[in-house]
Amino acid sequence: MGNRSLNNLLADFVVDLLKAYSPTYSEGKAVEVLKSYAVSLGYDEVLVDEVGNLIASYGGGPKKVALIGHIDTIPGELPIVFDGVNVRGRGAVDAKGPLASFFVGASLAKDLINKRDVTVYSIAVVGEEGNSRGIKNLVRKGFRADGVVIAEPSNYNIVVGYRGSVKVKIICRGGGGHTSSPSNGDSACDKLMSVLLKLKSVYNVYKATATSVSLTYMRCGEENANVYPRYGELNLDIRVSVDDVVDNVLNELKGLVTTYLCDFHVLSSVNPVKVSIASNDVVKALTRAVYEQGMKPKFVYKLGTSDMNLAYPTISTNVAAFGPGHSELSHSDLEEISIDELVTGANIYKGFIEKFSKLHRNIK
Amino acid sequence: MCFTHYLTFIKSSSFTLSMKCCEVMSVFKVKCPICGDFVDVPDDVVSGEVIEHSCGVTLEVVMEDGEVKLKPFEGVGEDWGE
Repeated sequence: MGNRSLNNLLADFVVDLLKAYSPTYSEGKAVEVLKSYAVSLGYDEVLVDEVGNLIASYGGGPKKVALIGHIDTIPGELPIVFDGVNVRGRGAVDAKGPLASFFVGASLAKDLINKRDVTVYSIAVVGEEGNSRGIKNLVRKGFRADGVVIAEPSNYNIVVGYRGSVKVKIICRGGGGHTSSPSNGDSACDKLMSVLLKLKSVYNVYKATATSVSLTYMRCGEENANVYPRYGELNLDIRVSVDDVVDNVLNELKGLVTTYLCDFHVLSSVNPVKVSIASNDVVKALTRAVYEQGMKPKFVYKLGTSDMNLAYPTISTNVAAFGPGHSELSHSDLEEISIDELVTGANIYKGFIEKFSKLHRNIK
Repeated sequence: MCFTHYLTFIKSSSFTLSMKCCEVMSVFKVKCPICGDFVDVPDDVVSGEVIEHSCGVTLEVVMEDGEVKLKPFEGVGEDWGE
């Protein structure tokens, strides 16, 4: 396929996906659009599973490689604008641009691999911006692969780790009392503030290799202005270092909260993921594919989370995230991606599949 | 996904560990800039690839004037967001 027709195909593809606005839990229309493109791109099989994931595949070999991206977006529809160079709209960057790019890129690799050795999957999952019901269903249904690329905008960097996340609610109680007298440390608000300040002093570095805590909700107080508060609660979003695990953080939290005679509940959690740069064939194949496009491969850890946290290690331990698009535009009202970025991304995904398939043949 | 396809997924996943590999990787030797020992480097390596050496150092492949060199890997960067 020539560069011009590839440009046109990707422009049409991403614009059509953007027109099918698809916030989490409303992905159906976008999945239908994707399905028609997947069929026309030549995938042998195109299925939609019971939660709405679209699974396209070709080849029939025992070696399985999967590209997985999400088709849902955060809520907040934006005008769709295509000026011939850039495409704007909700999800252009996160992550319909990367999604269109890898569906095309993987289809272009069809004639470059031995399809008796390899099966290639292009999968659009639902719910990534919510409770990740799409990737969780793949895990639950036993989908496994020898290599997985999670398609998220990464500025062409190869993402080799994401921090984990644990969201907790802390509840403190007090015994009341008149505020003209000392509280004797029995004010729910005072306890809550003490716990929060202590946690903020321990987890105060926003780095991939550190754990950080952010306050997302807080409530405490009494109707009466002269009574020490009896009840207070706060919600925290704790992001867990790539070098740690959620259980360690929860043990530390438990010790601290217990000191102040407060309680806590885990609302949700996901462990961090960190993969080897040197011994991971997905990373190696991506490195070679990026290099082939004239770029210097760079490796990064991300401070947030993605479906890679859930894909590893169950679906595969050979996993990395990669995608065209400026990740700093994700979730903003300025989501924009250029067709050139999508074309380069498609060529890198194509190269990745070709190189990953060959790498495994070279291992004794 | 229908039950038949679900079964296909599970059935095919059992092949994961039965991959047949028949070719031997070709390597050449490049000196480690830290310990001076030779490092096995795959002959299809590209600039930017990262290799771990038995001396404990992580090395980055650099191509200069057609020559393959190794330098200590400067580490993984960071990015915000998802």
